Amino acid sequence: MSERKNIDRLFQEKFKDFEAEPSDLSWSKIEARLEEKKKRRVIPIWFRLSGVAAILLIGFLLTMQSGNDGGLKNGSPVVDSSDGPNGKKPGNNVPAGTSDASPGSDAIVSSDAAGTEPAAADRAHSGEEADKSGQLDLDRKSINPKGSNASGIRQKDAGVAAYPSHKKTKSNSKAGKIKGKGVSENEIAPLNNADDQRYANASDNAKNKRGGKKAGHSQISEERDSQIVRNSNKASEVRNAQNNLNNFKTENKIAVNENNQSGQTQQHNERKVTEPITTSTQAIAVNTDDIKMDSTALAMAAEPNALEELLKNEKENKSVTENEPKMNRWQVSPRVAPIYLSSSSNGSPIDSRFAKNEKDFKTQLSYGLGVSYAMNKRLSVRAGVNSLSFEYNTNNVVAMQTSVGRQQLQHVRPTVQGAFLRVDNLDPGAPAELANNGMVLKKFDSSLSQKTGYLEVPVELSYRLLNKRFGIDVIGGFSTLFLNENKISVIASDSEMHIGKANNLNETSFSTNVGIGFRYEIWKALQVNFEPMFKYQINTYSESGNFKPYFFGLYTGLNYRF
Amino acid sequence: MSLEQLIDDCRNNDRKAQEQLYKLYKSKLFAICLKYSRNYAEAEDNFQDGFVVIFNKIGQFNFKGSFEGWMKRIMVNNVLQQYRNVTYLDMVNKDIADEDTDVEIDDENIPLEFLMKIIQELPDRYRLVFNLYVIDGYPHKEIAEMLGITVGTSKSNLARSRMILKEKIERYNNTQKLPSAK
Repeated sequence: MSERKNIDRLFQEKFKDFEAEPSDLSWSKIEARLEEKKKRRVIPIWFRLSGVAAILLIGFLLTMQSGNDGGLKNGSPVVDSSDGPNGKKPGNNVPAGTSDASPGSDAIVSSDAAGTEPAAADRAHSGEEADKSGQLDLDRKSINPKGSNASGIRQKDAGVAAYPSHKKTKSNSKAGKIKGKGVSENEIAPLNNADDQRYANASDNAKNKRGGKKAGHSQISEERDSQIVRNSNKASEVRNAQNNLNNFKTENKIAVNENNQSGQTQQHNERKVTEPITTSTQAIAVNTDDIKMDSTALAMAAEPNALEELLKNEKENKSVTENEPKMNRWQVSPRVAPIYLSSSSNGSPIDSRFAKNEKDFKTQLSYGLGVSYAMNKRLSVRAGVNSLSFEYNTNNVVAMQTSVGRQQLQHVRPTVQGAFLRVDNLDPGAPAELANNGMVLKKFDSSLSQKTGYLEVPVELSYRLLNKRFGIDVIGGFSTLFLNENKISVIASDSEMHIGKANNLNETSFSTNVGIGFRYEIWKALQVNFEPMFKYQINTYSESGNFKPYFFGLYTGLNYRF
Repeated sequence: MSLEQLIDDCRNNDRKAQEQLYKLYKSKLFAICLKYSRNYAEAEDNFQDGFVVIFNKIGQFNFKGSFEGWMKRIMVNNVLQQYRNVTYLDMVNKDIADEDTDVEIDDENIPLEFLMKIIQELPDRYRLVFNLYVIDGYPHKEIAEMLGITVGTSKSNLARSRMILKEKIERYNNTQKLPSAK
């Protein structure tokens, strides 16, 4: 029977109560996408926090590394600072003390100063003490002049022995100057000059006519010399310096006496005497320089002593003020903990059918290493890495070997073996779905075991309630858990069969942690601790089937502080 | 559990409630997707997209008007979004008069599957307009707004789609009649 109909009406009638069934997969796809969105919202916050953990760890590692050459580094700033004032003060001293000293001598002093590291200063110090005890060794006062002084003397002898001619000795003395240059020019010079003089006088020249007068002059100048010496003696406040100067004075006097004698004995030697006189005055001038220099050197030698003490004090202060908190800020704590897993609700992450089944939670061991940084006396940030594993059995299930390769569990990605194993509930209350199943070949009572392993990165704050030899902390924070083991197996009469992986476990999940820490101090740097921690897991499953896992850990370990 | 309670639970992201809501409305909503999409596979994709949108926007539902209507509208809008932007040349003569669109049919003789098939085979915009106007009863003005076209275009698209559908139904009737004539 046919009738004419408007096309609109045809469709309206036909589609009026039209309904259509989407495929069964649709819901799981929608669910996955809902989960994904939720995850996306959750993760950035947590990732930022786990970033904090990473930074803390990196910071720790870096400071550890620099701590390795820390012996040097920690030491070197001290040396630097000691060099600072040391190098500066003598530097200030030098222009004051040796205002007429040549730049060369300046250089000596400053180089000396630079050389006066605590050890060198000590040496100078000991040298000074030796001087105090009456030794007439000028040379020991400072380190550098010693050798050059000796060479100067040697040269002087050589000059006497090898060069009888006056001119040659002069040139020799010049050579000596050049050789000793920048070190103890001044000291060499006077000695050589004195030598020259003596030599010149000793070798004698009859040409000297007005020798007496000149000799008189020289006498006067010598007196002046000794006066200067005395004056400079007075000027120098350091006893040591006095000693040394006395020594020096005697030496000068010897030289002067020689001069004198030669002057007196060879008065008639006009020309030759004039020269010696000038040289002797030179020598005197130089000697005064020398004395001044010596006094500064001594002052320096004494000064570093004071500086040294200052430094020592500073060091001590530093070690008192800086070292103490520094020593305690970082703490490394290896730890071990038995982990007790549980769920705050009935549910099964494997299949909702097993939600009401008895779950048998296994105690696992977690171990790891923690790092803690004390922000102040009470508050510290802790981070670390722990290995963590969980295992629990879902009891009262039945495993059936089937001829149909079809895995029925909601959240298991089966292995090839597992695909042919059908696991169902033994509990009569649960809906039996045996009817639509294929051929059942074998059937055995079993339990379903789920093992998961994580790398845990905790970031926690701990607050010290009691800060004595025995201490109590309150700890709170969170952990980022990185999945590294995921295994589901069927256990039937002691045999275990790996049937697959959970497909609803998130690669990254979190836990919120709270706990109390008890510490006992064995030594200042070493503590034993015991920390019962409660950790509630978040975001563990993309679809949890109302399984809300949490765990207790009784963390026991050692804290090593440094 | 009342619908309000269910909606509330869905707002709290309760997966069980969401599943229940899904089960309640999946058939009606999937039917919409089938009509508006090019084929079954695309209908599934659009359906899932639409449901995700529904769950994400469920907090915006203010309990004024029918919840089912609200969900349907989201579904339709979601599908429209998929096909609206497809560039399509409107080659139809806009002067097409509202000609006779009556077709001779054997009552109950034309299966729904066939009708669905020919709807899905329509070019995107024809299909959308036909569905919106004929089956879901939207006026041209609203359709024009929803699709970003003029009312005239909407009308001509509708006329054109009727012609195509009529042709296909008549051809189908002829093939059905031939064996019966024997």
